[in-house]
Amino acid sequence: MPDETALLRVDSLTVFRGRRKVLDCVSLEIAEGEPFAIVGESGSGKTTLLYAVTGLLAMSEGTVKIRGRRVAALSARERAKLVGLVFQDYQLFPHLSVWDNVLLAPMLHGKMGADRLARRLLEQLRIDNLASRHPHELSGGQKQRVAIARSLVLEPSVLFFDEPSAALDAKTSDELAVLLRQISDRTQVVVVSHDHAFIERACTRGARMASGRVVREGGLAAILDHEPRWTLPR
Amino acid sequence: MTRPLRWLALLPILLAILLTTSRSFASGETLRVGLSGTYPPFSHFDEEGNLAGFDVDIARELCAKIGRECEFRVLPWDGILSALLARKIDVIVGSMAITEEREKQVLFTSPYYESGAQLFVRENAPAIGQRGFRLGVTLGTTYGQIASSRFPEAEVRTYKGDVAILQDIQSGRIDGMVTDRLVGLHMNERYGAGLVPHGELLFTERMGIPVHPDERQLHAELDHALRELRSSPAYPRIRARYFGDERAGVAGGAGFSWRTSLTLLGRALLATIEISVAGISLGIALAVILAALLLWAPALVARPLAFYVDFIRSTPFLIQLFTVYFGLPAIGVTLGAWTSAALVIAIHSSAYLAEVVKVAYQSIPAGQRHAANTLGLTRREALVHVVWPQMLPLLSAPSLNTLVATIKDSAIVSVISVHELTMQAQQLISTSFRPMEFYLLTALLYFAITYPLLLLGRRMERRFRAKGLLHAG
Repeated sequence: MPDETALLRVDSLTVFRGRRKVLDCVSLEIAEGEPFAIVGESGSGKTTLLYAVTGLLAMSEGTVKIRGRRVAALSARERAKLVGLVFQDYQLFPHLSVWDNVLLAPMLHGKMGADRLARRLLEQLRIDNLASRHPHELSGGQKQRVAIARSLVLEPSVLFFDEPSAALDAKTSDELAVLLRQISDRTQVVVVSHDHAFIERACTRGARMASGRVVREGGLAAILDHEPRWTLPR
Repeated sequence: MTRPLRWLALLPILLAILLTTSRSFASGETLRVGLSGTYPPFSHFDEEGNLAGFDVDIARELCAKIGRECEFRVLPWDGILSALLARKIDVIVGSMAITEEREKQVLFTSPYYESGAQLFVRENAPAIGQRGFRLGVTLGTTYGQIASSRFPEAEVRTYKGDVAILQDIQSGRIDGMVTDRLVGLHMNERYGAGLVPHGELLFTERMGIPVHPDERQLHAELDHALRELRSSPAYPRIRARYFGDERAGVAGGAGFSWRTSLTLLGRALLATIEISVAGISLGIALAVILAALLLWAPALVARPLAFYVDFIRSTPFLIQLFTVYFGLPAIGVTLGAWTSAALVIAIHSSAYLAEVVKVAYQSIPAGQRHAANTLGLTRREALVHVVWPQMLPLLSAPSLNTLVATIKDSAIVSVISVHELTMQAQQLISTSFRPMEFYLLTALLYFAITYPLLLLGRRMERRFRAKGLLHAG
């Protein structure tokens, strides 16, 4: 019996790219709690899952529900209140300052108290001194924090991270793992990554994908220790 | 957020409004009189920049007699009949000889003066029967045919006007010209042209005033007025004003003044800027619409549009100009010279800029639209607040370059009588006969407006690059 109260529920999700089935009847539930990891090798379907759940990609079959609401039936605006995404390459808006990057969406949505929240977020993420800078003046780690603030200011129920540690050095990567645990009280963090070392520091549970399916779910031990046989030695 | 750039987006729209609200030519009780303005002493511009000459005075007398006001339109001689037939003008009072061929197309009044074609040669010219003798005539005149048939040995070259022929005679490029005897003598008197009349008159011509074949009423009125004028004391008075005693040559015009010439050039420069900016602004607006259709319209619309853009880019500006100005009246759309010129500049530049706009749009990474989407922005909001502001830096330099090219190319629109810098320079040269000074000065004036624009373009590019908004060159 599926849990109708699950925060995020993916049910029989199938996605085609051209004629190729890239997601094959994926079902997954994420209850509110610690950061959740979705791991898997390149081509396992984890990025497709991420794009389908955040509404960037049309799904062929199945449903995605967040807080019981079908994502596919929502407008972009309503969807943004439920789910956010921090891109691997951040995708900050280069023509806007940090402050305007964070405030563009809430201003357009007419969100009350957004600037107070934005100020608090910038302080918590320790980028309040960068508010008037433009993206090209920031380091990779700083850009990522701006992208996190830009998503959090909309107060989504779930916030996805696409390969967040890929472009970071070891120290910044450690700091990020700590940060993700910290912001877990604001939103459900879901990390899509194949960086096991990072996952071990940031998350406590997750799912493993392979060939367009969820093959394992549970604690880190269950999803990380068993390497599929086609994986190259690390 | 995007405040410093926002005015840039509004600029084309404002100027397009300006374009559509200004400059509507109405023809009520005025009589639109066409002439070349490069045929002294019959029609030319005096040192004040005003039209003057025998034809002009005759036209004014006729207008007074039929109770209408003269509105003079200066047109190149080779296009003046087309302009009459396209009803851009009502009459031509421009020393047009009555010929059988022309009478098939238009109605001529009785002649208002008689003259004759004369061969003039420069001093030290080679003998006329010799091969390689080079002869100049004005395009669209009766002199062209007579020169070819009477001097079969000579190489006949055609020009836009007598002044241009005289310039080539003086520089030794050609050896002689066939023109009206009175005009040749006037040029000797006025410019010390040193032309030597050679032989008898080649033929005599009777000059009449053509009107559109459907304007029988106007034709009758003018013919009546002309007969009255020729028998009145006003006619010999006008004749004496320009030709005095014919054997003694032609009375010289007023003196030359740099001050008034510069004022006139300055005014014409403003006209050049005005028409270029209006044309380009409308062009940018059109280009954005075109690009949007090329990107998003269904193939049924986008394919023909892509072909249209290629077509405009593959045809000469001059032909497009003539099509709009002379061609459209045939299907009932008559636009003034200024409006036609601005419209063609807009159409021409929009074809180039549409491609630039399209490429600028495509160069914004899809990730930017995805990011806007996950933040809950609608497609319109993403376009206005995320994509368009990033396109502007990519558009600014090509737009400025197109503006510079347009300002330079706008010289062409003088052929449909738009009074701009190049036309003003030619008029000043036709009265002052100082081609070197005025062409150099005109070039400098063009440079004075285009160079700062080029510098501005470079500065904007540097600024955008510093802000991280421009990556590839």
